[in-house]
Amino acid sequence: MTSCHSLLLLALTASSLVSLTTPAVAAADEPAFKIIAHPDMPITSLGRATVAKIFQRAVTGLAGVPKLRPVNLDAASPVRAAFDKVILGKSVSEVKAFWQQQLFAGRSVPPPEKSSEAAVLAFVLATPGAIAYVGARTETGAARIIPLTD
Amino acid sequence: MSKPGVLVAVFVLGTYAPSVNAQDAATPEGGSPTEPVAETPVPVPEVSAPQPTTPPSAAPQVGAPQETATTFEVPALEIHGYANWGVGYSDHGHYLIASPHGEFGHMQLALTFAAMPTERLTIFVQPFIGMAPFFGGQHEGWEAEVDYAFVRYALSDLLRVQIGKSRQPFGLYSEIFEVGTVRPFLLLAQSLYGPVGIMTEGYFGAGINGAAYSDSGWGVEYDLYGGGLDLPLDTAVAEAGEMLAAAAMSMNGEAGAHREDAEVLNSVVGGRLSLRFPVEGLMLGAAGYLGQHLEDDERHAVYGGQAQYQAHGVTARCEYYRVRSSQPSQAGAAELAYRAVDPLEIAVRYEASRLDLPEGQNQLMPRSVREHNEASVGLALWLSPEAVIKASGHYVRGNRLAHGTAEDLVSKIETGETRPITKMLLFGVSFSF
Repeated sequence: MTSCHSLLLLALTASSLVSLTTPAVAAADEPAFKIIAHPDMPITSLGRATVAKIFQRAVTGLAGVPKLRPVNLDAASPVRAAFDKVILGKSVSEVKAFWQQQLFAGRSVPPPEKSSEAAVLAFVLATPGAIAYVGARTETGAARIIPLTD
Repeated sequence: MSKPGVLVAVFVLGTYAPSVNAQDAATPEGGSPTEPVAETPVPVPEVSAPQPTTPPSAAPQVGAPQETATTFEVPALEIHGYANWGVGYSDHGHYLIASPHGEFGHMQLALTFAAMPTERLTIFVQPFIGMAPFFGGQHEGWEAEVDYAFVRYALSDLLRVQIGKSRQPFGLYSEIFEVGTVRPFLLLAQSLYGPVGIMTEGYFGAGINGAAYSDSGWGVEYDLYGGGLDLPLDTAVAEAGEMLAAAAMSMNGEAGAHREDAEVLNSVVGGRLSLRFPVEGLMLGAAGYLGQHLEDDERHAVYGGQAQYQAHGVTARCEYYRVRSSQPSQAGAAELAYRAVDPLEIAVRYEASRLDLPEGQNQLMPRSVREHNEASVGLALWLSPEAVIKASGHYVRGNRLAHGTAEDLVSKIETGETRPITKMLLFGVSFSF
């Protein structure tokens, strides 16, 4: 009886642990953002490195898209932080430092920043060539979703 | 970043980009054109529990327009700027921005204007005003100049053409000389970026540049340029060498050829090639240029390489260059910085420079006078990416750059009173916007 009770307790404990840890495991796979683009964007997927170069303005056009128009979320946005970390491999501060180098060297200017996802989405829907990112759970209407290939 | 000009251009959609059918277009990565697929957002570990995704056709929750608009906005003018202020103390003599009693006047300010009148055209202008550092025991006071003013036309990412006064694409810092918010030290390594005839801040002429990247992380960036440039050159050591040589030949001790503090080079052609690797933050590059001195048509060639690793809070940079001219020299610098406890960054740097004087003059002066070796340690407190407070200590061995006037130098060499060791403390603040 005692051993059965112990087993039951053990099972309950394990179950509780699983139930507690499952969301955390799932959270590890939780998508933080998704790439969106103007509805007419003739691109169906992009590699992560290409997205990085687009947002660093090193790649300004692609086949069928003569001018890409990346737009960023405000630096305070957690979605921006996740995007910078995953796509650019840098913190928001490091990205800012990168743009200072580009700007003061006369190389390039940073993409415009929008203060909200609504503003980003409005820009994307209204601007041919626009490409941006929003939170994974944000509904994006007619905007084209650009899945990453890697 | 700001756009205080609030100049917004409105373009009509029909005049800009054709509408492209998704089914007709090929992806740049070679993938087959398909219908847009369902959302496959990027996994990120640190976010909260998953939520059901919504089909792309669902109505936006954020109140965005439902129809494709017929206009869009692009910023037509961006205005940015940076500033540095610093104070320096040395144990003897004037060197850079330091003196034994402290020099408080080191101030630099620049504004950067970037105008984009059309899709492919960009105009960059950067006026600058600042207090010149001490070289040869004196400085020229305030200096005002245009760092760069050029027009760039982008034919593609592979080919951009620019004309005007541009930054010289050469070293790791040659395009961001005075921008204090992109480095831990207040001043750059003088062995490379000082008046040593290796590089300058800008060239007058035309250039092309471009870049190509693969989806696997490889990349190549290039610059080619031609025109003229003013090469900063501290000539006191060379003048002293000529004075000593003239004196040794029982000539007038002041018979050294007149030298300017900036050598004008014409017919300059140069380039830089940088390689990017799948290793995050790693770059290797090579640069060089060839020109002719305006005064005597003497050839002046500089070449070398650089490497940089910048990721995970670590920055490692090193550069090495050789100068081929009537006074050949070589110089190198290595810098390591680590942001151990944000917002504190600690940095160390070592640099060295060697100057070879013309035949007969090398033997007339101590080796230390022809050399510059400097070890530095610095601490930077980053208040934000745009504002930093810095402190650094510098131990200089050699008088190639840390010296008085040429006459003082000759006098000290003759009496054996040169002081090859100079210690310096620098404090400063830099910000940008």
